[in-house]
Amino acid sequence: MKKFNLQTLIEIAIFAAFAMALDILPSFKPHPSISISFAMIPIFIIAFRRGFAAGVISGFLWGILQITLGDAYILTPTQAFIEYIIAFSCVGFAGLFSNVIKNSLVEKKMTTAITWIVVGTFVGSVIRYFWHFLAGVIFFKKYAIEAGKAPVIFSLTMNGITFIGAFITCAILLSLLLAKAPALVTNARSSTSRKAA
Amino acid sequence: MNNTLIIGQYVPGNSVVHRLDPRTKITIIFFFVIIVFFANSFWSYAVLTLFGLLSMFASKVPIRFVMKGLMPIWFLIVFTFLLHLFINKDGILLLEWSFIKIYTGGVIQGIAISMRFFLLILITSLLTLTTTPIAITDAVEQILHPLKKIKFPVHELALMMSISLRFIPTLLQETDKISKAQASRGVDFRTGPVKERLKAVIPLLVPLFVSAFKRAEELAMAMEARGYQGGEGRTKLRELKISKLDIWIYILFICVIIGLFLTRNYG
Repeated sequence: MKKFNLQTLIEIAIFAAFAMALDILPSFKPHPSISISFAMIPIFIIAFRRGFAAGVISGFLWGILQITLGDAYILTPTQAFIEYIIAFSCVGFAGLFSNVIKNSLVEKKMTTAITWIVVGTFVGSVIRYFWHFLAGVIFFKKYAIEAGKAPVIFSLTMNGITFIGAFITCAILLSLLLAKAPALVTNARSSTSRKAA
Repeated sequence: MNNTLIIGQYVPGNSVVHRLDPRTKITIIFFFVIIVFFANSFWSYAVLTLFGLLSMFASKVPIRFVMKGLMPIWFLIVFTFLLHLFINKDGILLLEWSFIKIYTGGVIQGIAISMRFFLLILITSLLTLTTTPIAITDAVEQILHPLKKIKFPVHELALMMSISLRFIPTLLQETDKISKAQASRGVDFRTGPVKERLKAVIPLLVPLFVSAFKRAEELAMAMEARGYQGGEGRTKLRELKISKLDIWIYILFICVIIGLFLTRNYG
C-alpha cells in the first residue's frame, strides 16, 4: 500500500464505488433478457490505468462493499470468502496487462491495444468466474454429495453463461471506450506528490 | 443537491440492536455463522432459531424488510430442500409415487438445511439492516487494528471504504444526470439492436469516468492541503464505545453457545 500515493488510493476507492453503483442501478441493462451487468468495467479501468495491485485492491473493496451494503449472500463462511473476497479481487488480474495496453495506446497502435484489452478483460473475468464456479461446486457438494457430477455441471452452466455474457459486454465496451478516450488509462499522472503512509 | 439518498439496506431506528456497538454485532454474527454448522438436533436448532427470532423482534425492523433479504434466496432454499427430499434414502419410506420415493431422513435433512440457510440470511441481514455501512467500516477498522503490527494497511483500507461509501450515492446521481442529459441529446439506451445500445453506453461512460477521476484528484488535493498524512495520530469523528448493553448481549450469546452444545444430539 505504501507504493500508492493518496490520489491513487482515492481513485481505487471511487472506482470500487463506481462498480458498486453500476451494480445497484436496476434499469441499466442492454437488453431485458440479459441481466449481465458491466459493473466490472470501473475495476478494469483502474487495473489498466494503475496496474495489477491497484486493480486487485479495487476489486477487493468492491467485494467488501457488497457485504457491507447487504448485497451479498452469505451461506457458508467458505462460500462468502471465495465469492466476495477472492473472486472480486481477482478481477484485478486484468492489470497484469496494464503496461502493454498503456504503451500501445500511447503509440496509437489501436489493434494491439484492443487485443490486449480483450485479453486483460478475459483474464480478469475468467479468474473471477472460476472462483464463483468453484464456490458453487463446493457449496452443492456439501449439500448434495449423492448427486454425483450434477454440482459441477450445474455450476459450470450457471457461471459459464454469466461469464461469457459479462466478458463479451465488458470487452466490447472497454474497446469502444478506450478507443474513444485512451486518456482514461494513459493519463495516470498525479497532481499530488506525497505518499500516503 | 440531494445527498440523502439511502444506499444499502439500513433501516434507521433506536432499538436495542441498533444501539449495540457495531463491533459487538460483527463479533456475534461472525461466531453465529460458525456455530450454526454445529447444530445437529431438533433442540439445538430450536436454541439458534430462538436467538435469531429474538434478535429480529428486538431490532424492531419491519418483517417485510427481513423478508426482502430472503427473497432472492428462496429458490436456493427450495432447491436444496427438494434435492434432499428426493435423494436421501434414510429412515422410513413415507411416500411412493412412480419413481419418486420420499423417506423421513430426506424430510428431516431438508428441513434442517433450509433452517440453516434461513438463520444465516436472517442474522447477516440483521447486521446490514440495523447498522450503517460507515459504522461497519469503523468497527472493522477497530477489530483489525492489531494487524497493523504485521504491516497490514488497516487504516488505508478503512479510509478507502469510507470514501467508497461516501461516493456511491453521488455516482448514482451523476449517472442518472448524465444519462438524462445524453437522452435529451438523442442518445437512445432502450430501443434498437443490442449493438446500438452498447454503443449508446459510451457517451454515458466517458463523462462519468472523466468526472470520477477529477473528483479523485480534487479530493486528494483537498486532503493534502488539510495536512492528511496517513493514519498515525488521526482522530475520529465517531468514537465507538462498549456499553453495559453490549456486555449483557455477549453474556446472552455465550449462554446461546452453551445451550447449543448442551442440546446437540438431543431429539
